[in-house]
Amino acid sequence: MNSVEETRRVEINMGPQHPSTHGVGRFILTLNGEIIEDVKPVCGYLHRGLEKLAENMTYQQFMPIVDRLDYVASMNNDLAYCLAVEKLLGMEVPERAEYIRVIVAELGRIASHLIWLGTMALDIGALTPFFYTFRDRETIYDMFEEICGARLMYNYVRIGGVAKDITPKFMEMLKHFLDTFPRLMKETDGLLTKNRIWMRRTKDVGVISYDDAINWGLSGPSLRGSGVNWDLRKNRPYGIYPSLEFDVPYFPEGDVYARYLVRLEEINQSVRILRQCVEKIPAGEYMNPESPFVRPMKKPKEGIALKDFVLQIRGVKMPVGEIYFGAENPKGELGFYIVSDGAGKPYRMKIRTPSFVHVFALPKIVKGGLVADIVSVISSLDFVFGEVDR
Amino acid sequence: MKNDEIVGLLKGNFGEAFRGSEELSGDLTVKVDLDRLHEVLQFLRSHPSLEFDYLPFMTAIDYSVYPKPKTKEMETKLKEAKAKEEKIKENEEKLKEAKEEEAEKLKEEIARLKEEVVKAKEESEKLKKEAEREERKKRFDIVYQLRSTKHPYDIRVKAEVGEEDIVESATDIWNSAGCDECEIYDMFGIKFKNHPDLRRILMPEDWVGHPYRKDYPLKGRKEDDEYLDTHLPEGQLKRPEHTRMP
Amino acid sequence: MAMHVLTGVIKFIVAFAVLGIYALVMLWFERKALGFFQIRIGPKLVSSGLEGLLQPVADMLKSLWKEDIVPHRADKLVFWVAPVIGGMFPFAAALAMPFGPPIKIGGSYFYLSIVHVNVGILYILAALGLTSYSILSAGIAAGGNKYSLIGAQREVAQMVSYEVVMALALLNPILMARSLDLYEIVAAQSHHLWFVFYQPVAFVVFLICMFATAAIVPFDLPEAEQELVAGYNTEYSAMKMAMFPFGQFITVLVMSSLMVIFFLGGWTGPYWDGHPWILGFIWYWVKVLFFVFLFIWSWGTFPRYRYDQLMNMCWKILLPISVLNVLWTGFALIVHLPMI
Repeated sequence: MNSVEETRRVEINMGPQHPSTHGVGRFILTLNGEIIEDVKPVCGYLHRGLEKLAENMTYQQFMPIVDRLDYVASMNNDLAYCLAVEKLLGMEVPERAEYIRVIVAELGRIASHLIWLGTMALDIGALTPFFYTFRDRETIYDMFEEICGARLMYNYVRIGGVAKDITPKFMEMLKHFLDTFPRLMKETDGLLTKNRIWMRRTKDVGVISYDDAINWGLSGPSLRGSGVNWDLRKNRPYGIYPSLEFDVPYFPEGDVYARYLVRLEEINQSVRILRQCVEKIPAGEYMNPESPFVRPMKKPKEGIALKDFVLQIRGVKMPVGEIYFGAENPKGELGFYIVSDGAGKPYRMKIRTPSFVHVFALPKIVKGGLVADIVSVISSLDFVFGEVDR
Repeated sequence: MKNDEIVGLLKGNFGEAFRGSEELSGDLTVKVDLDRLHEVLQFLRSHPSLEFDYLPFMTAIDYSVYPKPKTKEMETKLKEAKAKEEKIKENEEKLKEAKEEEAEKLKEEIARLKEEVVKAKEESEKLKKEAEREERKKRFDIVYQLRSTKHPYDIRVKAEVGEEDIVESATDIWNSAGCDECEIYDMFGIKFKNHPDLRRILMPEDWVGHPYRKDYPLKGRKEDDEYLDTHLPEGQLKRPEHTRMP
Repeated sequence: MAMHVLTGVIKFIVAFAVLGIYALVMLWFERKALGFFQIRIGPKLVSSGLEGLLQPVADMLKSLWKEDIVPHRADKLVFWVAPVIGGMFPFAAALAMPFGPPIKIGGSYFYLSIVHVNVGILYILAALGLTSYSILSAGIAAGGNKYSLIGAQREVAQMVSYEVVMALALLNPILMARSLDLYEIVAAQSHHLWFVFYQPVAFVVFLICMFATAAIVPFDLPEAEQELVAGYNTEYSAMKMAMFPFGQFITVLVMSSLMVIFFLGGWTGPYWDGHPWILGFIWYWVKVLFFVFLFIWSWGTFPRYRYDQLMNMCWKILLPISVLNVLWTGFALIVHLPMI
C-alpha cells in the first residue's frame, strides 16, 4: 500500500524560469495530485555577493549597489542605507531633506505596492488590473525622472541629505498625482476587492497565525496581515515620521486577502503622508553642508582637490563600532548591520532583507494547499529575488 | 528598563559567561561565551520583562584581518598632547608680561590649543581602550540581533566561534534563524547542531570554500573556473581566457 | 441525390471559409477589445490603415514558418494527433450549427447548416465533449512534462464537472420544445416568449458551463499560465500550438450559438415574424456576437477559479439545482401550467 502511495508523488521544478515566481526563484514542489506536500526553496541564481562587495568599497561607492537590492523600490533602499550610515556617523540631516526623503520614500512605497498589486492580480488570473497599476506607476516614475533623471535606479538619497533639490515642476506633478491617484486607484479596487472569485481565491488561503508570523521573522505588510500592529516607522521611529499622522493598518485574519487589504490601505496611508508633506515642507538646505561625504563646494582654494581625492580613494574615516538600522520598506524590514573598523570601508556589512526571510517561511505556509494556492501566497508575500540572493 | 539594567540582569544571571558590553548610537551589544550562548538566548526570549520574540537577523563576522590595536599611534598622540600642554604653559607665562594687543592673540591661541589637547586625549583614550581589549583567540563572531515586539528593546548578542566549533542552532527559539544559519554555514563554514535542514543555500551544494571569509579573494579563485567548466551544459561555449579569474 | 451531395460540398467549403475567416477576425477583435479594456492600443502596425486587421494573418504565417519542436521523449503519434483533434472536433460541432434562419424556397426549407439532423444538439454536445481528448492526449504525450500532465488532469476534472450540468441545463428547453432539432427549438420560441424568461435558472447554469467548456478566463484552468506555465500546450510550438486557440475560438462560437438558440430565441426577435429573412439573420448574428464578446469581456475582467472550487461549484451547487429545475419543468409540463 505504501509503495503505491509513494509512486503517486510528483516532483515539480517551479522555476527558475516560471511566470509567477517573481524573478529567478526556484521551488521544488512535491505534489500528491495537486496537493502540495513539500516545498523546498532553492535560491542563489541571482547571488552577487553584495556583502562581500561592500567590504571592498567605500561607503559612498556602495550607494548605487543598494539600488539593486529590491529593484522595484530603489528609493526606499537608498533611504535605509543612508539612515544606517548616518546612524553610524551620528549625523544630522536638514529638515527639508528629511521631508524630501519621506516624499520619495512614500512614492516609492506606492510604486512598489502598485507593481505588487498588478502582478498579484495577474497571478490569480485577472489580466486587466496589471495595466491600470502600471499606468499609475508610470506617473510616479515620471516624477522620479524629473528630480533625479533616472527611472529605476535612482541613487538620489545621499548620506547627509539628498542629491538635488526638488523642482517646482515636481511639486506640481506631485499635487496633480495626489488629486487624481485615489480616483484611479478605485478602478482597480472595484475590479478586485469585492469580486467573489477574488475573495474565494484569497480568503482562508495561506493563513499565518499571530505567533507564527513573529516567530518566522516576517516583516512589513506580511506581518501586519497576521494582526501584528507593528511598523518600524511607529515602533522604532526614524526621520520625521513621528511628526506625521498616519495609521498602521493590520488585519487579524492572516490570510492572503488580509495581506492584500493591508497593502491597499498602506497605499492610502502613503497618500495621506504625502499630502501632509506637501503642506509642511519647509525651505532650506537639501544637504547637510557639514557632511564629510559632500565635496566642499562653498569653500574655495586649496583643500578641494585633495579632499575629493581622499574621498574617492580612501573614503571617509568612520567611527569604530557596529550599528544595526532597520527601515520599513514596502516589502518589510530592510536593515543594514555595519561593522566599522575605523577605515573608509565597512569591515563587514550584513544586509537584512525581508524577502530572504519570506522565501524560507513559504514552505511552512503552503503545505497542504493546492498548486494554485502557492501562486497566490507567493504574490501575497511579495518577494523580489534581487533581495533574496543579494 | 534601560540598557544598563539589561546588562546588569545578564551579568547577574550568567556571571563569568558574560564578557562585556558596548554601546554605540543606542545600539546595545553584549558578548557572551559560546558554551552558554544558547542559554543566554533562551533567557532573553523567555524573561517576562524582556521577551525578545523577534529575530531580525543573525550573521557571522570573520575577524581574521581586523586591524590590530594601534599602540604606536596612541603614544604619538599622547606625546603631541603633552607638547601642546607645555606650549600652553609657555603662552600663559608670556600672557602675564604681554601688552593688550598681543594678549588677545595669545588668549585665542591658548583656547585653540586647549581644544586640541582635549581632542588628542580623547583619541588616545579610545585607542587605549582598543589596546586593552582582550586579544582574540577565535576567528569568528556569531551575531544575533534580537528585538522585542512587546517592549521597546533591541539587543545584539555576540559570541566568539572558532573554525572547529559547532554552534547550537537557535531554530528552536526563533524559527527564522533557520535560513540565516544556512547562510552562515554556506558563507563562513560555521556548523550548527540540531538544525533541521542545514545545507548550502546561495552557493551550489558541491562548492568548495566559503566566500564571505576574509581569505577568499574578491574576484574568485582558479578552482572556481574549473568548477564552472565541469558544470557547464553540453555544447555551451567555455568562457574566454581574458575573463578567467586571476 | 447528386444535388444533395453537391449542395453539401458547397456548404462545407463555404462554412470552412467562413469559420476560418471568423477565427482570424475574432483573434484581431479579441486583441483589440482586450486592448480597449486595458488602456492600450492593441495590434496596429500590420495594415495600419485597417487598425491592424491583418495582424492574425501575419501571426498565422509566422507560426507556419516557426520551428516545429517535438520533445525527444514525446509519444510522437499522440503528440501529432492531439492538436488535430483540438482543431477538428470544434469544427465538427460547427457542422450542425445553424448559420442563420432557414430560407423558404417554394414549399421546402433551405437550411443554413451543413448537416441538418433532427438530433443536432446531441451531435454537437458529443463533438464538443470529444474536444477534451485533444487536451488530454496533449498532456500525456508531452514527454513527461509535469505541467502538461497537471493541465490535462485539470481538464479531465473540469470536463466531468461541467458536462453533466450543461446537459441538464439544456434539457429544460428541449423538454419545453419537445424536440432535439435546433430549428424546432427556435420555432418553439417564436410562438411565445424566449425560453430565458421561463428558465432563468437553466440560463444562468448554462452561462457558467459555457465559460467552462470554452476554457475561458474564470475557468481557464488547464492552461493557467501563472501556475502551469502554459498547461497542456507547454511543449507545443509553431502551427501545432496555434491549433488549440483556433479550436477554442470555434468552441466559443458554437457555444454562443447554442446559447442564443436555446434561450434567446435564435433568429426570432422584434419585427420578425418569419418573413424578412435578412432581419432574422441579423438578429441571430447580433445575439451570437454579443455572447462572443461576453467571452472576451470576462477574459478582461475576472480572476481565475481554483480547480477544486470549480468542481465544488459544479457538483455541490449547480448539479442539485439543475436536477431540481428539470424536475420542476417536467412537473409544469405535465400539469400544463398556464405560462408554458
